[in-house]
Amino acid sequence: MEIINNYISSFYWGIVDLPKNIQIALVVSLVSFGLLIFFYIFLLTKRMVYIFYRSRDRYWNEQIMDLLNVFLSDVDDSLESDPVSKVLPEFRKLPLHKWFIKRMLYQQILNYHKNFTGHASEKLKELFLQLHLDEIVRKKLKSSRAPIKIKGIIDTAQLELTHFSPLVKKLLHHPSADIRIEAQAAYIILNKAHSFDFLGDVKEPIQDWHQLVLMDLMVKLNPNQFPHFSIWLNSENTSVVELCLKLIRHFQQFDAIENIIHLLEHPNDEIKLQCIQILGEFEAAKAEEALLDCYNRQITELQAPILKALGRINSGNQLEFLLKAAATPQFEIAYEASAALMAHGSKGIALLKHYHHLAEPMNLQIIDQLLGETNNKNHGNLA
Amino acid sequence: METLLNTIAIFFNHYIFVYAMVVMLSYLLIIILSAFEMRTYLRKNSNTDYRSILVSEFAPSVSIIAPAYNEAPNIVDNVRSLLSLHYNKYEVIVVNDGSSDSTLDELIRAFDLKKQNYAINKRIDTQDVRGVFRSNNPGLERLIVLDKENGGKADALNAGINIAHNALLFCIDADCIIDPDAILKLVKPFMDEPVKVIAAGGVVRIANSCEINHGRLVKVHMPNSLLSRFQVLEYLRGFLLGRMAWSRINGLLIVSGAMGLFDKDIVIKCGGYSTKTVGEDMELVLRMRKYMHKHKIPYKVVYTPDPLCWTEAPSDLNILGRQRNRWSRGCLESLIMHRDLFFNPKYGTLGLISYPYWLLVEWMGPIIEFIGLIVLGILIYFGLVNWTYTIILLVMVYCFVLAISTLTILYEELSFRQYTSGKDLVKLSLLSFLEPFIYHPLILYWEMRGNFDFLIGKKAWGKMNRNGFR
Repeated sequence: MEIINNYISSFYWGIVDLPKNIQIALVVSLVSFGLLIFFYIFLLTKRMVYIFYRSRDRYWNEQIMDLLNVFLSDVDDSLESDPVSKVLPEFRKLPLHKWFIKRMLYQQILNYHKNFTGHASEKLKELFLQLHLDEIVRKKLKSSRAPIKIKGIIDTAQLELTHFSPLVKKLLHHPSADIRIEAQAAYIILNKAHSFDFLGDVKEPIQDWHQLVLMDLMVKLNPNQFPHFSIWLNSENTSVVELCLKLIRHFQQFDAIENIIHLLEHPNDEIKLQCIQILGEFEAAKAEEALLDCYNRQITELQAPILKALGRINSGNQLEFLLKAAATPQFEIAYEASAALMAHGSKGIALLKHYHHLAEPMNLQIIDQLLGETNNKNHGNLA
Repeated sequence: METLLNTIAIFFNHYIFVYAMVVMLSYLLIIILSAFEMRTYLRKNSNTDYRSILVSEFAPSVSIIAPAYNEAPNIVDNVRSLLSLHYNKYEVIVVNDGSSDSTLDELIRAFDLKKQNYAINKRIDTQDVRGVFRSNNPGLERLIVLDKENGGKADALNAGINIAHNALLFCIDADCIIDPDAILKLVKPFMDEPVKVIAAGGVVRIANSCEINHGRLVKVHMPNSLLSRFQVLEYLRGFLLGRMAWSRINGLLIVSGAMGLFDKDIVIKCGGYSTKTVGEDMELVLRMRKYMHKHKIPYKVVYTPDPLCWTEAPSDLNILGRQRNRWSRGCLESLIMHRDLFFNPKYGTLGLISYPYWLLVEWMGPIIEFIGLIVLGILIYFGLVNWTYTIILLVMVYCFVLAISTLTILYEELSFRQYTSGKDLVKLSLLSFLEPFIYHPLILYWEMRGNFDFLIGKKAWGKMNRNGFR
């Protein structure tokens, strides 16, 4: 014992006597070495756990998939009978008291549901409900952890579990953007009749990605149930205005043209750009005056789209204006103006050809390119 | 003489030790930040359905710009793979940068290209354009081939930018294998960040020995050559730890030249890629960030940890040496061009953290290490070395480096698990033990050569022969 004590004591004093930097180096080495061992143990354990779960899940996944395949073949064969009650005892034979098997069954039904439509998809939902797997969804929706809550919302929307609509509604204005996005998307699916009600109350900006996700869902709904999106064009939330403009454009709500013309004076350039593009796409001849009126007040990034819109409106009343713009030294303006003239057909092309020999080299290049493209198209059509 | 040497030894014992501690501390911070960023990314995107972008008419449009110089053997396969990326609204601009081989002829033949009248908006000055080619095949409408006089990679990218029609620029190396979902994954941050995103980069991985079929990566393998394997570990460390951490604090200074998505408007307003440096990728990001600060526009440069780009790593010492020499010079050139950033509070994180880190750690670190080794050699020669202390210090550095490399392997295992075979994992782990003795000294030497070449005014890119994918 004394020998050990002496050894420890001499070791301790040996270290204490070392210079400070060497002491620090020893500590850093020890900590690094300890971490190194920990990382390797963790790495090894992770791999082993992964291999164990993979082999265990493989067996049960095969069992579950076999049952689901039998169930789906029954669904196909017997449209009249009730395949769910027929297979339910088989599913109940699975050891569902084990959480991982229940979780696998839950996930597999969702996976199958994603890949089927119509009768099969309805029956899969029915099976899901009969097995009381929706209780897992409820738990997920009530979870305090954001990723689990989000998964719960997504599953609710996928299976259209309308009885969870009140739970989803509570999350529509959640402080976490990720939860909010999924809740709003799910709400649209669960409440087809009043899917857009929340637009009136949205305070937080709806990011472009979120708008895209919502649009992706909305385009799958029946447009006959849609409201006039122009009612939200005066919203103080510019992202709501942007989304409504996209919806108006996609669902071609022509009666919104007047409201869109008013928005040409909106302070946000992105909104102005969208309005100009929509007016062009709608070939809104009555917007021509307003577009011309605001042209000189706009930055180049908005002037070029105005010229493009005039080309689409194609009234034939602005040929002189377009020709003047086609002669400017600004590439974007000259290009769009020349393209707008081309869009006017023979009259516009004749003007461009007339201007051709007077044009500056850059403008000449543009005209040559556009005339060349038209010729190629004509050749293509003839071919 | 002995007094002088003793003074130097004391200086190294104290000041350089403090420097080493600061560097190690900064690495620890990087590890913590990257862990947070990785967790946020994985959580945020675990439920993302990228099909929404794929089919949406409201997804931003992208122009892919692929500069090609003497790429005849692989160019057709590479362009075909670019034309089949998973995205709806994009065009592919291949810039033939005055290749002396048959790159252009291969493209013309394979895609039935015809020279066309094309008006070019020369917003950025470049070498003369010889012609613009498009296909007669309507199925290849999105392909544009631009043929120009040789001017280097930066010049070729600028020429591509001049004819790009879309809002986002996806600048890539034509010899890289791009993951089919790369645009989908890189576009998302441009749409879901509350502030303007000006650039996004993705992780670049090593494709040597991987199974490639018609420009697509089929199966991931650990490279056969030891030199390439070291680079696997190095890339994992650089991308999974370093860049993720900088992305967390919006302090990224570099988006890899192999693959990056940029806001075209800002790139053009900044004047495009600089042809005055061989580190054009880093220099552009620095300039874009300065522009945003100057105009007081809130912005972000983001990083996606998904393995989206696979490149062929040099498996030959000379080529690797030339590459690292160029990277060193490029870094130093960019740092000098933007020296006004150094501890400049006007530029926030960029001026106070990112730039000083790159200068004091990334650039100065190898120089201090090199000088340290020389001093150690002299002290050994004169018998002035305390071997016990020296060994303790070396063990400290070795253990620390090992711990970081192992943590990187753990990150990979917990996130993307590209190396599924247990053998690959063992190989990677063994490499981390050997790296400080074999690979690191080589890298140090090439970095010093790069600094020396910068001092003597060397500007050349250096010839980069590749074996090509099999």
